[in-house]
Amino acid sequence: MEQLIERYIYDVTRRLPEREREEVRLELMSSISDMLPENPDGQAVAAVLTELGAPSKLAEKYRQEPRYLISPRMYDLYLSVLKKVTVVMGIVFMCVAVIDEVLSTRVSSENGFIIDIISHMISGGVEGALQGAFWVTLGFAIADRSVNAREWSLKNLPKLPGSAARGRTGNQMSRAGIITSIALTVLFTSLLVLAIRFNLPVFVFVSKGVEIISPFSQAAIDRSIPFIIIIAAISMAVSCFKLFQARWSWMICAAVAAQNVIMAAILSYIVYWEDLISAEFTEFAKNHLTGTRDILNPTNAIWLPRILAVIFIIFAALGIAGAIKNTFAQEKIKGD
Amino acid sequence: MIQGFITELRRGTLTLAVLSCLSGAQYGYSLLQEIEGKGVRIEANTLYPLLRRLESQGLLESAWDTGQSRPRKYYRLNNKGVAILERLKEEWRRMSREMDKILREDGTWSN
Repeated sequence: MEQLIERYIYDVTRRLPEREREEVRLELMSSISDMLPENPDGQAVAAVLTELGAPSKLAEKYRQEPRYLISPRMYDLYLSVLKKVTVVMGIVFMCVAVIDEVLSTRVSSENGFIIDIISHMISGGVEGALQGAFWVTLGFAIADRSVNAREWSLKNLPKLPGSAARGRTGNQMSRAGIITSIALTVLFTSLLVLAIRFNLPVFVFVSKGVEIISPFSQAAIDRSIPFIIIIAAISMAVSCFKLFQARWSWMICAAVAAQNVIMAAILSYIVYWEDLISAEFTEFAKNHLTGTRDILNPTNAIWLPRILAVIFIIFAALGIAGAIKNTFAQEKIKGD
Repeated sequence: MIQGFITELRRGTLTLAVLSCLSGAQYGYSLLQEIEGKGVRIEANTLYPLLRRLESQGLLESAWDTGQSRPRKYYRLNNKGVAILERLKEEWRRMSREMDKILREDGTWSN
């Protein structure tokens, strides 16, 4: 029966800080002995131990230091930093993994390079998020134990985030939407650049038999790489900006407008390149697309860049108008 | 659910009960019996950790008595403990007067 008591006490003390174990062990031993009758039998021991209850609960009562990694006073701040850092680290690691993959010579076949890029995006994103979560948690755990609570004062109260004061959410941007758009930008840009680097036929509209005709000339495609990267970088930057502001404002509206103008300008510039359309395609078009109303008919093709440029400008204008509308709606809520 | 509220309500009063029984030196089990003898329910697994906590908070002093058949740890109030007990008693009386008053007035909604 002694064994049962020893085991019970051990189960309590092993959960306590080392310096308290021996003292608590002696105390419990003495108290349990007091609670037992003279020459106790097994039943009496079992009754006393059952009365004392679960060792883990008893240990919890003995423990004087709080048992948490991040204390409640830090928890809100911890959560908000954790969210931001994991998202940013995930995106950064995802981009780095993809850029590394695109620049490397490992990918050389067209087989599976899409899967390759996607798997690098996922593993990079997950690794970044985990790294971010780990370092934030570690940092907070250390800070929580070393930083004394600051006296709070009225001056430290945060400013109201616009509409939140009135219990309305306003037209908040969707975080998931923004992150998805960043991921898609990274995916398509890297696929495009990768495909161009390895001369894979990305822009196959026409194939006759086994021969593949790319509508764009190789020279134009090669020259377009920096522009593709610029467009991707700008849209990433604007997405990140949105992610942090989370609400429409005139600053974001201006950024979105600039993004639309630059994209329309670059695309319009590219469609005016004289060597944009490949010679084979022109040849092919001459023989097959002979309808007088067909825009790809070479006799009409002179209009093509202008029409495309107008379309780009219309899209840009729609994008800017949408941003202004959203911003107005947001500012109106704030102003109510 | 009700048990949670009761536990919460009793937590502070147990501290007061324990302190008020420790003018003389007592070991854990004798204290348990004395408190229960006065009609206050207290569990062993609450009392023993509570004694240690009050000691580490500087309200109690303790000494091991190894002279008897088995060693026992005796606790008693020190000067700080006596002073704090006095303050807590005053507070308790004031609070129970106030609570009585509030609880007597609570018939407003029952009809």
